[in-house]
Amino acid sequence: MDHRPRGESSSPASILEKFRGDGYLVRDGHLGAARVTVVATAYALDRMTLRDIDVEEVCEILALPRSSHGRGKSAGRFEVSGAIGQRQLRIVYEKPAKAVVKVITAYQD
Amino acid sequence: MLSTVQIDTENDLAYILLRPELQDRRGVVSRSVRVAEDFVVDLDHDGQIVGIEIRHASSRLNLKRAGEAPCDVVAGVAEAAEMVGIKKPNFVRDYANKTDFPAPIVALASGRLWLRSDIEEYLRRRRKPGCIGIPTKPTAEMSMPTSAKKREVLESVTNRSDPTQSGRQRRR
Repeated sequence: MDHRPRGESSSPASILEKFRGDGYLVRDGHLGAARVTVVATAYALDRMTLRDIDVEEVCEILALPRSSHGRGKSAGRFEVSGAIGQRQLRIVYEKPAKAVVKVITAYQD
Repeated sequence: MLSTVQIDTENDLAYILLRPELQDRRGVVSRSVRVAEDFVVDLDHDGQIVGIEIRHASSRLNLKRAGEAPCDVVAGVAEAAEMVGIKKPNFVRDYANKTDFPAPIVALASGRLWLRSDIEEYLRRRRKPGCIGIPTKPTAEMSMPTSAKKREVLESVTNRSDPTQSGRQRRR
């Protein structure tokens, strides 16, 4: 499954620089088996705080096999759901560049 | 119902925090329910609504207005009835349960919630000239007090028959 949305041409370095400037959380992680940089927007971090979801948990879900990731209803958006302990979490993300995953929101399914 | 709205314009998301005092509190949400494609409702441990997440927010909210400090974004039954200008029980009977009225974004045992913008749009549509529904100006008949209406009806009934004849004479 190709997760690259149309228009994915900006260089990852410039995108990450912009995200850091916007105050987003930037860290290493995996998308399936592939190494990526995981970015969480300020909005997503606020939702995660309220919903008691850790960045570690988000990264764990993103690292689930790519076959369990699905396309979202919106173009260029993807969703993955997985269990962490007793909780079933769903992560909504985008791929603004190759090897960059931007977490849009996360909630308990 | 004052609420805080957090907007992510880049990703077209909005979060309506119905209890602004809970902002930045970790773990107040016990579970989230995706009630519709674009709506996720957060509930606390008692099943009370903490907030509502809206996707494609720009199509549902006036983001410029909603982004300003605490404002009214959602309406419960009482607030919706007030917006329409009628009493709560009449609102439920005459509006809330009708198919042409906007669907609530949340319908829980504790009540229903509508986006104010949806109700405002509905009222705007109904008020357009030529539409059946809420008239733009009250007609003379509507503005007449009830007692005056009753008197007018009685007069029209008595005027139809000859007042000099009794009921028995008319039947013959």
